[in-house]
Order: sequence, then C-alpha cells, then structure tokens
Amino acid sequence: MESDRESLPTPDFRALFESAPGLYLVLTPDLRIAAVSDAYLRATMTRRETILGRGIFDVFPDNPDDPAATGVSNLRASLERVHRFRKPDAMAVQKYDIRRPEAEGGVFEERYWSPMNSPVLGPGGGLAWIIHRVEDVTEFVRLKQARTEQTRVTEELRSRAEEMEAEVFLRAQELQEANTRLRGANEELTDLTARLEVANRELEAFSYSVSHDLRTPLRAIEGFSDAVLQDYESRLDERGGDYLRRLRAGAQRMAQLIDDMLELSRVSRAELRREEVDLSALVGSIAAELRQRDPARNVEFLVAPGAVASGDPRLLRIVFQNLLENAWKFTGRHPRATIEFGATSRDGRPAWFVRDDGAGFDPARAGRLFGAFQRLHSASEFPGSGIGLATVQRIVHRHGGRIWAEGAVEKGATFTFTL
Amino acid sequence: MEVRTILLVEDNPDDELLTLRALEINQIRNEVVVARDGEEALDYLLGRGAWAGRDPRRIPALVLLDLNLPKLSGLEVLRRLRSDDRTRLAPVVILTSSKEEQDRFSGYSLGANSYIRKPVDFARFTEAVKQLGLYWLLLNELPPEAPAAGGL
Repeated sequence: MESDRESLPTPDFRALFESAPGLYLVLTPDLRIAAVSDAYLRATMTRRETILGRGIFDVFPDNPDDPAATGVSNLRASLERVHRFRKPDAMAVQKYDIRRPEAEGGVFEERYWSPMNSPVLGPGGGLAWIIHRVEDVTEFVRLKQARTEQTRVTEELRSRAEEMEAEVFLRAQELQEANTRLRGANEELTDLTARLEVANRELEAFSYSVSHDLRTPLRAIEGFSDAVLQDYESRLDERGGDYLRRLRAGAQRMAQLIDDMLELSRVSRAELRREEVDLSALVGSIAAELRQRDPARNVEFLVAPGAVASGDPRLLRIVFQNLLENAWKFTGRHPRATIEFGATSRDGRPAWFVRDDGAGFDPARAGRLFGAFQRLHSASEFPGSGIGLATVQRIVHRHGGRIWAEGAVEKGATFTFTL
Repeated sequence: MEVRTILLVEDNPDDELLTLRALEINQIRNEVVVARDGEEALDYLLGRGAWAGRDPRRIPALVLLDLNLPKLSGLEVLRRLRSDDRTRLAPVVILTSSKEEQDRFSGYSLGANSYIRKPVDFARFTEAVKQLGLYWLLLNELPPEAPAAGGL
C-alpha cells in the first residue's frame, strides 16, 4: 500500500478543478475571481482571461432592463453571511440574467440559478477562499413556469367555461323570453286568423244577403213595372211607357252590377285550385257561346291551338269570359271583326293574349282600365258595369301573374297576361 | 185526368204575386197553394196543422221552393219531405234569388229536382215559368202514389 501511494503521480489540481462538471467560482475574501471552472464559463458565456482577477459584481452586474433584479444584492448578502459565520450559505433560486458577449449582441438572457457559497478556511481559521457554486436551474424553472402557465391556462379555461356556462344560462333565459314572446305572437296570430275567419264569414253572409235580399226588391220594381206596361198599356201615354221602361232597365242594370260585384268578391275569396287547363278549348267554347248568342255578327275567331296553362279552371273561365265578351262587345260597331287568342312570352314566362280590332282605348287612360267601376266608354256606347276587368286582374294576381293592355282608339285592344 | 196542385213556398208577397202572375200569363191553371214559411209548407205536404186530414201521398204536381224562409229554411223543408216515404218523390224545384254555390250544392245534395235562380227581368222570369210548366206539368209523369202502408 505504501509503495502504491508513493508511485501515485501528483494530480494537476488546477486542471482537475477547471474540468470539474460543476459550475464553480473561487473568490478571494475581497470577492475577486481567483479561479473558474470551464463549465461556469460556458454557462455564463464568459472567458477566463477576461474575468480572472476582477470583482464578481463587476463581471456579473444586474440586468439593467430588469427593474425587479435582485441577484446582486442577494449574492452580496449571502457572501457577507459566509464572511461572518464561516459557514456554507445556500441561496434561494435566483433570477440572474446572463449577458451574451458583445459579439453576440450583448443582450441579457433570462437565467435561473441555485447558488451555494462555501468558505475555505486558512490554517489560522481565517477565511481564505469562498467557493461559489451554482447550478443552472433555468430549464427546471421554465418547466415549472410552463406548468404554472398550464395551470393558469387550465384555470383560465375553467373560468372561461364558467363564463360560458353563465352565458349559456343567460342565452337560455333570453331564448326562453324569446319563446314566450313567440308564443305570444303565435297566440296573437291565431287570434287574428280566427278574427279573419269571422270577418270572412261575415263577408260571406254579407255577400249572401246582398245577392239574395238586394235582388228581391229589384225583382218587384222590375216585375211590377212590366205588369203595368202589360196590363195598363191602353191607359199609358208614350211618356208613361217610357218612364216605366226606364224603371225596368235601371233595375236590370242594378241587378247586373250586384252580380258582377258578387263575382269580384267571390273571385277574391275562392280557394285557388291549380290544374292544367286547355286554354284553346276554353276560348273555343266561349267563342261558340258568343256566336250562338248573336249569330248575325260577322266575327272571325283566330284561336291558337294547343295552349295550356296551370291555373284554376273556373277562375280562368271567368278571365276568358270577360276578355272575350269585351272583345265581342267592343267590336260590335264594326261590320266585320277579328278576335284573336294566342300564346306568347314575357320576361321568359309564358303569357297569353286576347286581341281585337274594335273600338280600342286611349292609351293615356290605360291605367284606369283595371279599376273597379272604371269605364272608358259611355254606357250608351257600350254597356257594362266596369267590374269585368277588375275581376280579371284580381284572378290573374291571385295566380301570381300580371296583366296589361295595349291599344289605341279605333285600333283595337290587346290584353296580355301571365299566370 | 186529375189536376194536381202546385205548392208555392214563398215568404215575400211581391215574389208571390209575380210568380202567380207568371203562372197566369202562361195559362197554367193548376190550383196554387201558397205556404209563407217552412212550417206551413210541411203542414201542407205532410197533412198536418191547418192541413190536417189531407193525404200526404197525394203529392203536388210541383213544389216551387224558396230557400230563405222564416221558421224553417227551404233546405230543411226539402230534407224533411225527402225523408218521408209519402212525400219523398215529390218534384221540387228550388226557385230562389241565390246562386251561391253552397246553396246549389246543398239543394241538389238534398234531392232537389231542379234549381232556378229568379231573374230580375220579369220577361225572363215568365219564360222560365213557362218552361217549368211545360216540363213539370205537361211532359213529366208523376211517380205512382206511395202505398198507404208506407207512411208513418
């Protein structure tokens, strides 16, 4: 054993110290740097020759950009305690930012350290050296911070979730209120519908009574005027007879008006039942009726074949009855006339027209054509109630279509409509 | 040949008079019984009330029935006379002011033989009555009398 110890080479303590894996500084009692391990140099991004012999606080000042930096004062206090008590002093984890070399921009890099200062006593018991050993715990702190951050995020998420819950609750309340209001609105709508139904029924009853009760006295006026004309003819002079005939005509005109008004109102209320309607056949049958009614007239009907439309057959019959009767009526003063029915299109939609070469109308007054009780001709010229075209227009509108008229005085009229 | 009656069910005196006049102009000489409300009409048809003792099986040649009647509506009169074996085959022509679809539909549904809307124009009314008389009183053959046991 003895021989073994003698054969040992003397260790190069300096080399061993500088190569030690820990981060070590050796300070003189007046806190100048006497020795430094390579690991310390790497961690602090410093070089041995630039720091040896310099005061520790000169080499490692506080980060001037970090007003909260306490590294220097904490270290100073710890080193003072080592001086006084000659005992190792472990410091709490310190934030001490490391300044990068000027070549790398000289900026401070955030670092956390766990330092420990240990005294090395001389032969007389006095303080000879201070070993300043640190561990770089930046990664550990960052990890901890990350965890803290995660906790914070979790917390935030939880509070967000709570906020959302609160919001959901609030929204649910709003929704409930909205629902209540909606229910109220629905009830109101139901109520309105019921009232509308009542109003409609009243209107029906009114129409019925107009149809029934208004005609009865008219029948009496008309019938008894006729009875006087027949039974008391011999006692009536010319003028008396004329008056009675006017009475009869007035009653008949009023009856016609009542019927037309009823039809207009019926057309507005009737349920619309769409099906495919053969318009050519419909026009043909009405034309035949007109001819039969007045076979002496010289009227040519040009009916385009194969015209079909989707619409309510009964309402469409009323449309063509009115348009064709008008055409028939307004060509009545011409010795010969042509009435034409055909299909066309308007804005890409199918359209149909009824054209005549009769009395026509003043285009400036075309706007009044479709108004109820609007007449562009005097009753003595062409009799009528002025309701027919209003009825036609209402039917066309109920089908979602539109109708318009073109014409000129004595140049005929064309009525075109879509459905 | 025995001449049967015409039952005119009409509450309006003007219409009654005008209808009688139209019948007269057309020289329809059947006896006309006028009922001024629904009850009266049923009294005559079913032989009760003022007409107790009349044999209901002797149906009128023609019933001219208005719809708007006091007490009992024309449609109700029609329903009751159609549901009675003794009177269910009586020819009934509804003669009314209304040409409302609902009335026409109900009238035919309850078994009316015809539905005529009274025209305001008296000349046309006279013509209508003439056609009625021609058809129902001259051309039409009444159904055989219901057997006596068939009644209530």
